[in-house]
Amino acid sequence: MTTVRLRPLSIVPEGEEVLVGDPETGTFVTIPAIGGLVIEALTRGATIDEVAAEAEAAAGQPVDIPAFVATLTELGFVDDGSRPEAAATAPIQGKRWVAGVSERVVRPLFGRVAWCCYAAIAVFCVAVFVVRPDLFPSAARDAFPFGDIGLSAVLLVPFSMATMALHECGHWLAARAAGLRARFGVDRRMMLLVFETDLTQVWGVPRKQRYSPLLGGMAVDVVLLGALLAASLAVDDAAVSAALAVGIYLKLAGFLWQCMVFLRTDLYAVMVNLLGCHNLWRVKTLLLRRAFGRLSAAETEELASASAADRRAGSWFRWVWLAGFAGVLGWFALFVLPVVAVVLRWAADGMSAGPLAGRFWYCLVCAALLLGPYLLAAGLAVRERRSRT
Amino acid sequence: MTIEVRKVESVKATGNDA
Repeated sequence: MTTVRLRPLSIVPEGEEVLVGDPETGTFVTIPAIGGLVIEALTRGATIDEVAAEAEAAAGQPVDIPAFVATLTELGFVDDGSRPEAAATAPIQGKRWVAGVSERVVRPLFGRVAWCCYAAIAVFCVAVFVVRPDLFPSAARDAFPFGDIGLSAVLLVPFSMATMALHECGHWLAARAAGLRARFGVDRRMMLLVFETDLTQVWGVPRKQRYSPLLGGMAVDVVLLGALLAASLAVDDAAVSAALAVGIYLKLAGFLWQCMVFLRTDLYAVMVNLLGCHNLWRVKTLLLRRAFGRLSAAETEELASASAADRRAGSWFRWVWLAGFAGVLGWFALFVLPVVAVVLRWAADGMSAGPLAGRFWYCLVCAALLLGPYLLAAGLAVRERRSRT
Repeated sequence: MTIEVRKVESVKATGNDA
């Protein structure tokens, strides 16, 4: 007469399968529909024998329930009275899932009406660029807009950090509106440092409800860009226009960034959901290794058990990833490193006066603001490599 | 029959404008 107590799990039908997970630990898996039936029976308090009989009746053949319960235990889905902890998904990350605001308060911000407004603002932005192409940024004019490298750093970096933080808050608030919680961290994409919001709990809601949390960050970006463009149309003061142009430049660069799905951006997550994939990032790696004949026996087995949707998407996404990776390396070498060299030379010049001069510290702080993120990303990469060996 | 389980990846949202 054994029963098994399960933790509060989310169960979402997903095509012919069921997506089951523990939102508290961020562990989610897909199982065949019969597995969903077993979990529902166990949750109801049915004994192992009763569950086995029910499952056999549904499947038309005996189902190995003890083996499945062992798997559920391994996944941490069985309630053993302890408080579970979510595994880290980023190198620097808060442990706690953040609620913070009530669902009811933020729901109007991410309902159907709100999303229609965000779409309308996006159309407005495109229309402004069509009518006033001079407002479209040019890198030469807007990247170091204030003439002085130091002034650009002092003004740009904090603005950029603030809008990135707002973008992440957009994800979090949209997740709250869907009744989910998120957690914040810092991660890297190749050599770039990023703020990251863990939205893994979206697997606990039906497929259509996942888009709002995934696109919540870009909704904030669109509203900001719309405001910057509206302000640009309204003012004719040259200095204010130049400052607004920098903001527009940064926002558009942010949209370009999101399009780089091979860097696992927001639009990558949207694409995964559209294609019905669940483990594309890993399957892409396995398929790429296979293409270069570097698949181990264990990996061959892992690939064989991957879903058809993941393998289908992975077969072309691996090349998108490879081309994107090479493209970013090229961009970094051609466009970023020369700027880094200019900044270093500028800082070295300014610091040659020695630490008693005010300019020494000004240049040091500016160089740290501009180059700090790259150094931190490099540090994270080194740490990853060490923990792997 | 045994019930096969497939792993589901984590979902990471990022912002950047570098």
